[in-house]
Amino acid sequence: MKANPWIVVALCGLPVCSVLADEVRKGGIGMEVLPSRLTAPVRDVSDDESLLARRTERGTRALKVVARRNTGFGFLELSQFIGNGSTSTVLPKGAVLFCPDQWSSRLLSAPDGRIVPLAEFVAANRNWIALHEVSPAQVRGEVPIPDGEREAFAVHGKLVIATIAANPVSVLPSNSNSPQKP
Amino acid sequence: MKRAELLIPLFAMVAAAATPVEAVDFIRQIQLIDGKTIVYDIPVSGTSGSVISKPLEGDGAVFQLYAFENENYSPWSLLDLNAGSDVHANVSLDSHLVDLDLLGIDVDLYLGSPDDDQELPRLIDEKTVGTHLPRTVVTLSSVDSYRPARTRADQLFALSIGIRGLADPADPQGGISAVDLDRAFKLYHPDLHVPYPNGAGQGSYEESIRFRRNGDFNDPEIFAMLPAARPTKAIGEETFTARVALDSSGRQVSIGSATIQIWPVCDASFEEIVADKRYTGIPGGARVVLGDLYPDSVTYAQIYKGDAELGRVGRVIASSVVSFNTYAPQNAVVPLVMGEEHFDGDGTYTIEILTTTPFNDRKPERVDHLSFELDRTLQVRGMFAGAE
Repeated sequence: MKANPWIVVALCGLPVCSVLADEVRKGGIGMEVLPSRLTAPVRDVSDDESLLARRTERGTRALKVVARRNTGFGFLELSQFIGNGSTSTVLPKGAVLFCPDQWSSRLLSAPDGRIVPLAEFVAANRNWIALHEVSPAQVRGEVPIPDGEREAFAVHGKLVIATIAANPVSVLPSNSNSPQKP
Repeated sequence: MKRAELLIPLFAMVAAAATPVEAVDFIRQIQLIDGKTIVYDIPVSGTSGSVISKPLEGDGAVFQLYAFENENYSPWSLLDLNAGSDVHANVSLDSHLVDLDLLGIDVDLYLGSPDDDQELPRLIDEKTVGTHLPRTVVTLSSVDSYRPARTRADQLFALSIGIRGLADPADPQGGISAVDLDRAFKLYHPDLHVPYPNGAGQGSYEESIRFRRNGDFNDPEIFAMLPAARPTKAIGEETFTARVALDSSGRQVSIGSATIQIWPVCDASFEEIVADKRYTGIPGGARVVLGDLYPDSVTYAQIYKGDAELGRVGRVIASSVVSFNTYAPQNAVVPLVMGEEHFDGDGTYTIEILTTTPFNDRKPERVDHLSFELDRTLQVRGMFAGAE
């Protein structure tokens, strides 16, 4: 099948225009996507030996591979999970202000079941979870949580989570408070 | 104490599902007060937006963006669930993995923790803010000007790092006086072009450079050093991260990083045409199977009369031209439809597969070649004999 020379010439104009206009080059097949000025090949693509030879020639030292370092703030070490057996949610470590003994089995160190947002988890488990707004000073441990409020926690018998603007926050133990460690 | 309203671009991988509520991505704000960590989690939704953070106090805050993986969007759900196990191997971390290519071992590399739970969210991005933190800008660039940065396994790339705000070690007020630059890598699946799902194939290089002075530093010629069995077929990404220690606990936070993707060198193989064979007609039905064509490349076959000789310009076989300008390597099978216009009498002809990429100034490189002989002239040895 002989390619029609006139069609080939007309279509070759297109790639030339796009190169001049510096537009995004489109992919495709056929002669129209060929670069307008074809030159001769200058070399073979590298194969493994020639690439290794180039590396050693430049003095590139072989690099030793080690396990990925995790020197930052890890996820698990700063998280606390609570779950009811089928769903669980993520909290910052230290966000649980008070945990009655009967719910202590619901404090988890790893998620169990489907992970859901805190708002949904609290809505579904309102019978044993309560949220408690704290102030930044209480978060820093400078101001303790008043005893009256602590007694209220015990009376209600629910698991209490510290929040600021409805988002969970960890609370540092203050000097006069004994921390409720999960 | 100011409340900071942060505009952080979010690369959430979870789309809002119509039916069950999926786990929501969140930003974790971490602050160090007197050496103790305070954590505040802020849920986010959508793919970009702003959140109001907890008031910033102390020396600084680290913001981490976590996203839960939605398996509807994971390319791994298309594969057998055991695909990840292909990448597990009993490779001891003490072994000198860089010698593996000489030993001929196929590197199925597994350096992640085998108990990595896929349920847990993934850290997508981390930013550290603070009044006394050094500031760094880490940039990786290659000859290919595409963003995000990418290069080919056999090409050099350049690193530049600018550091400002490092404190003098002798300064009595203290402050951070050193920045460490680490180099880590992730290997990609050769067909899916994404990292493996459970942290497999990820690791760091042991080298780490410590900077103690402000300034601009650059290394313009770096080779990718992915631990692949064949260096030209290495596929993955490398990340350079600048880290500082916020406190004396040994924990480091990232204050700048850059990543470059490494794509393999392409390969080609001929089918239905045999090298050095004598053809009595124009070979038909021939094709070329191309693999790992560079995402920005034009690949074609040319034919010329004579033995293989690098540097000749032949006639382009129109049916074989294929061009890509995309984000991942491509495979292709192209037919070699040859006609009278490609030939000039009988003799030896050579077909070369050439590719042009942003490297080498877009001049073609030869991927493979094949020579064959065309002999269409029939020589009849015979006699006419008449019978009377």
